[in-house]
Amino acid sequence: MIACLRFEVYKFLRRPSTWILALILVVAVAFLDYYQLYNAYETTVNGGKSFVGNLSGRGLRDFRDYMLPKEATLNIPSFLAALAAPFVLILGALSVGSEYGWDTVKTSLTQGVGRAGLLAGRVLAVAVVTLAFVVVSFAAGLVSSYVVAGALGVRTVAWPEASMLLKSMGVTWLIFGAWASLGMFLAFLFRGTALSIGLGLIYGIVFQTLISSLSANSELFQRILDALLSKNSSDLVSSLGSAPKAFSGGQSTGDPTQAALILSAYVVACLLLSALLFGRRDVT
Amino acid sequence: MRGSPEDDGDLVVETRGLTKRYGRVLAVDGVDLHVRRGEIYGFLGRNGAGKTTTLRMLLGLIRPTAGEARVLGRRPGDPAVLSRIGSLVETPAFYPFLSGMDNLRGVASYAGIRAGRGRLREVLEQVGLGKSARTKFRKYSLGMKQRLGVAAALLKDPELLVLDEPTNGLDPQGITEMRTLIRSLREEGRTVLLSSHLMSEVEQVCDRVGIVSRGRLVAEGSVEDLRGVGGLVVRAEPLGRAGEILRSVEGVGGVEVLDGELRLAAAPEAAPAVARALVESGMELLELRVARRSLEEAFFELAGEREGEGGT
Repeated sequence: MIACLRFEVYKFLRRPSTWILALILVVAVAFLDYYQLYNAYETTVNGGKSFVGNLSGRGLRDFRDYMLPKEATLNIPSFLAALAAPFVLILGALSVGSEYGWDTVKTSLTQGVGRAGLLAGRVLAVAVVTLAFVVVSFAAGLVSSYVVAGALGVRTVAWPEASMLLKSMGVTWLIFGAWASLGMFLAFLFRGTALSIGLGLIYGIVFQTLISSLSANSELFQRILDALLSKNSSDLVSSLGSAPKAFSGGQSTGDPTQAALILSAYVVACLLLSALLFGRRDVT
Repeated sequence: MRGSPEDDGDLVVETRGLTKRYGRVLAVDGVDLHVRRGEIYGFLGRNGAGKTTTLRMLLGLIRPTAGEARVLGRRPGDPAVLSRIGSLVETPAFYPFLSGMDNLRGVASYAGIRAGRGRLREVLEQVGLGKSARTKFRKYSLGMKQRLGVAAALLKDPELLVLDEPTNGLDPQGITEMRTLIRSLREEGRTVLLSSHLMSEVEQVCDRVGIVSRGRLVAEGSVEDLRGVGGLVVRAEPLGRAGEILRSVEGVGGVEVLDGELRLAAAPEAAPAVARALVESGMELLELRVARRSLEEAFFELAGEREGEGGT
């Protein structure tokens, strides 16, 4: 079991797609999150128009603070939950789907590891790699926030408390775990990568956005939205603090505890269904 | 022709009525297979006859629709059994971004065995991949991939090897080396279940053969048994007169002249009467022997009948 887990992690490390996804996360946090925020802030300060609208006084100060290292524990998971988590779905889908594409599922299953053992090793390896993704994303975010602080002329940089940092990383790990589990389940369901990633991204990007926009005027769609990954991810992130008013339009109003339970339920349900599919289906 | 279970001795693989159905398609139809310890068993059949599906069932990759199977005394797919089986089913499947050595390390991890660098290198050398140990699998030729598949099968020091078309993609020298390797496995006391559609391969390597056609095992026995008897062959002078004489000999069903020989439709027991008739008639008897079918002829006869039965 330990040897199986070690090899699964080793495969991730040697696989180019793992590094590409990690690089995408780093670039996304650095440029789509911090650089874009900094750019918007500078534009606003200089009297221009940016996506945050007209800000002044307290609002502008809150916005500025949001980009500093102290607020990274809220800023980074907010960004990752909203935009980057679907990339983790790709990681989950690749970890399972590629095995069908290369037919290596046959090679591994005929060695004696057993279906349950193989699934457990793979799930744990995905958990390890998603944790690594969280660490890498936070490292990129903290470095970016430090650079922004320097650019803003902040002399004394305040860093987040370790406990808050761990909590924030734990929240992000749960969100990533839910997305990765969904990717794994879809790959088991379709026994491949293309369809599982395609449908996963349609769910993550198109379907959730559609339901979110329809939920404003419909209780039914609001209920559906309450069960979706993105809504519960942002509800959970809200437990880490309040985002500045500039972003409060999309601020979550849900219960973080309930959101954590729903995300955990996603993980458990996806893994149970994966075990069911993997355990019962023929490997042809 | 099928061996009865009573005289099968120590069976490594035994199936009873093993069946796999995919919707309306009956891929494997009530196969009773008996593979004895220490033998090379050839599983012979055309492409699509059901060989690979049967092997996948024996390895626990596919669940049978009906029937049962015992492999090394336990149910197929039991991890304890799989750790004693080396297998290569259809095309060798490995991670393209890993080297041959790393892929073998993975196989060892999944098998739960401790295989140090020395053991990995030894197995790679055994299949002629020693110099390509560090090359990524995606850069391997078809033959090299096949060799790595065999190396993976050997890594566990298995009691039973299940090899599905192991000479696929190999050049003539590679094919010869593979046959030598397979024979050496028997000498080491291992059992080999070798699936192939190549008659010559099975004829040269295997002790016993099972012929599968349209999902059914139509014959099982030693190569000699399956080849059976194909009549008597006579060379005599003068040939035409000898043929006329033999047509009237009791036990001779028919006489055909072929390539300067007489082919008699007769059992081996008729040989003394044939010799006596020719000598007593003053013919010069140059040769009298029992004709045996090639395995290929036997295969087409046995499998062909099945095709005919099922055909419309």
